[in-house]
Amino acid sequence: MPETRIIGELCDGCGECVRACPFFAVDVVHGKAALAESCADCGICAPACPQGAVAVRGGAAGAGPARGAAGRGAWVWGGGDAAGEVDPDAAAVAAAARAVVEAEGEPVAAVLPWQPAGGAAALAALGVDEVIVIPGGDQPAAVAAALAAALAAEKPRLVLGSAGAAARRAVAGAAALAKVAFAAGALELEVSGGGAEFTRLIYGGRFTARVSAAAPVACTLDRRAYGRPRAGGGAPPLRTLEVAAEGGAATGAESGGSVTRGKVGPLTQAVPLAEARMVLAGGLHLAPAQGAAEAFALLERTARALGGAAACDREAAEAGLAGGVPVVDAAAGATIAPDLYIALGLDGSPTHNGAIARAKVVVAVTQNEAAPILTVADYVISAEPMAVLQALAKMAGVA
Amino acid sequence: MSDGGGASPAGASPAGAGPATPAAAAPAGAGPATAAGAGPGARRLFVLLKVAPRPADVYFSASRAAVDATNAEREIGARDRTALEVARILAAEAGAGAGADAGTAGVEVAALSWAPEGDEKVLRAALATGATRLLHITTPLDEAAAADPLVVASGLAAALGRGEPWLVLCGDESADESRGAVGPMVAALLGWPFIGGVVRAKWAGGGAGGAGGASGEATLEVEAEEGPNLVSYVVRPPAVLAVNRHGPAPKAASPLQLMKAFRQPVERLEVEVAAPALKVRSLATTEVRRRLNEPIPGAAEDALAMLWAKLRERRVI
Repeated sequence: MPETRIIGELCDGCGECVRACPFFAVDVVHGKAALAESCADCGICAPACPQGAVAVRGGAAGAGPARGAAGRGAWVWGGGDAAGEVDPDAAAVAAAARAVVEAEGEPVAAVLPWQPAGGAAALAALGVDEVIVIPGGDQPAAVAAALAAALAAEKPRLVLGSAGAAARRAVAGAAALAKVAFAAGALELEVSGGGAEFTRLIYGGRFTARVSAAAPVACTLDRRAYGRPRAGGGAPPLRTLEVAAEGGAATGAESGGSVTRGKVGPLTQAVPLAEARMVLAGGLHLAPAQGAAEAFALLERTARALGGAAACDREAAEAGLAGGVPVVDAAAGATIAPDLYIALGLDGSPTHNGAIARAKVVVAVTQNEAAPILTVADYVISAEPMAVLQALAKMAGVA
Repeated sequence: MSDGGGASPAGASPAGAGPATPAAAAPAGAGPATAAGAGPGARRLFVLLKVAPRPADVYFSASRAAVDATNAEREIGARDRTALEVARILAAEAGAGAGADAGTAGVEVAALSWAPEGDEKVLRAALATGATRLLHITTPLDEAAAADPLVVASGLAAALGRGEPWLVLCGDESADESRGAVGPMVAALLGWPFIGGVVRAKWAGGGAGGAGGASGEATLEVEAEEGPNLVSYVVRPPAVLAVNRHGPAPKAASPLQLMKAFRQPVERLEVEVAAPALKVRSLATTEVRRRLNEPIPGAAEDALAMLWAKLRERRVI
C-alpha cells in the first residue's frame, strides 16, 4: 500500500496532483483525489497540491530500488570509450548540470569507471566539485552495473551523460538496472520539487515532447544542451566508491560474453547527415548544370574535411545535379539540427526550411534576393555560391 | 488475424507458438518456444524489431496537441531492417542457408518485436527478408508505457531470457523516438556486453569455419562507428549489437517470399508491463526560431573570413 495519503477534508478535486504525478497513479474520483496501488510514494504530488491535501509519510518506498528516493546533486558520466579515457564532452555536460542544480545549491560530481590517464589536469578540466571513481572494469555490462549500484547507494537527483556512445551505453544501462527513468537527447532540462522535466526531439526533430519524471532521473543530453565548460580551477577532490553490483546478471560476470576493443582508425566515410554538427548544402544555383557534378563532389570533400556532412535540397536532387548527396526536406522526413548549416545556391522551399528549423545557425549564400531561404537565415552572403564554396574548400585544405 | 497454415517448427513449445495457439494461452512469464526453429545447440541470433509510423506520414494536430499518425503507413524501422540484414549475412556465412528459405542448421535468425496485434502483417516482412522465426509480444502497451524505454527494454529482456539467444541485434535508433536506449538497456538487464554504432559483423576466421560449429567457441569481428572513429572489436557472445545506418542495405523481399512469409507461423508471447517512469506532459511542433538575417558584405573570401569570425565569437565553430 502506498505510504502517501490524500486528506479528504482538504482536497477540493482540482486535479493538480493528477497532472503532477509521473506514474499516472492519481485520479479524481467523485470530486476527490484518489491514489492507485501503483503510487511510488515519490512525493511529487505533495508540493503540487494547493490545498496541502497530500500527506507523505516516512521515507519513499519507491517502485524500484532507486526510484522515488532521490538525494541531492547531479552526477556527470565521465567515462570515455577506452580504459583511462575521459569523455571529451564531459566538461560541457558538467557545465549544463551546474546550470540546472546550482540554483538549488547542489553539487556536481563527475563519475568515472577508472582513474583518468590525464591525472590532475584531466580532473581539473572537468569543472566539477568532486570526482567519484567507481571501479567496474572495462566491460560495458560491468561498468553499467557498477554505476547502477553507485546510483542506488548515493541517490543523486540527476545522472547526466553526453551524446557520445560510451555515455549512452553506461547511463542507459545503469538506469535499466537501477530502474530509474531514462531518456536520451534531453534539452531544456529543469529540476523542480522531487523531479525533473526536459524536452526531447521526436520523429527526427519534427516534434518536441516535454517529459517529466520523478528523481532520480538519468539522461543523455542533446549536444545543444551542453554548457560552456568552466575555465581554470584546481583539481577537485577524488574519492573511490567501492560498490557491490547485485547478482551475476547485473555484473555480467556469469554471461561469458565479452568485447575486446581493437584497432581505432578514422571513419572512411563522412559523418552521417543526421549527426553532423556542420552541414554544407548545395542547391540548384550552386553551379551551372554542366559543372554540377564537380561542384557537388567539391561540396562533399569540403564538408568531410571540415568534419561535417554534405546535403542538397529536393530541387537539386530531382534535377539530377547532386549525385548521391542526401536530401534535406521535411516532407521526406529528413530533418536535421546541426550547429551550423550553410546553404549554397539554394532557394529554400518551405519543406526545406522546415527541415532545418532546429539548426543553431543558418547561413545563406545566394544572389537571389527573393529566395525564401533568406527568411530563415542568420547570416546572408550575397556572393557567387561557387566562389564561396571554393574559398571554403581552400580554407579546409581541400585541393 | 490469421497466421496462415503450416506446423510449428520442430521443438516448439505449445505455449504461444504456432498458429493454433491463441496469444491468451501464453501467460505472462511463461516460456515461448525456446528451442523452436532449430536443432539443439543452435546459435540463435535475435533481432529486435520496432514497428513505427513512417515519419513522413506523421503530422502534428494542433487542435489535439498530439502527433497524428492515423493515416501513417506502419513499417519496421530502417535501422532494425539493417540489423536483420547483418543477422542474415552472419547466418549465411555460417552455412545456415539463411534467408527466406533458411533451414534449421546451426545458426537461426529469430525476429522479436513488441507491437500491437495489428502490426503482425508488417512484421511478417521479417520472415521474408532473413528471419526464420517471428516472435511477437502481443501484450498491450499504452502510449505512456510505449514511450518509456525502460518498460520496453524490460519486456524485451524478459522475452529474450526465455529464448536462449546467443546474440542480439537491433537498430541503434528508432524512427519515431530516436532514443537509442533500448539496446544498451536490454544488454544491461541481461548482463551482456553492448556495442553501438555497428556497421559490420563477421565471424572471426571467416565463413562457416569461423562459426566454430554448433558447440565450439565462436567469436565475431565487429566494426563500429564511435564519433569520428571506426573501431574494431572482437566479440565473444552473448552480446547485444546495435547497428547504425551504415550497415548493409536491407534486403528487399520478393512477392514470392512475402507469400511464403504469410504462411509461416508466428509465435506469440506475453510479458509483464512495468510501470512507466516517464510522463509525456505536452507535445509540440518544433519552434522556428527568430533568425538574425544579418548580411555579410564583401566578395567570397572576405565574406567568409568575416563569417568565420562571427561564428567563432558565437562559439558555433
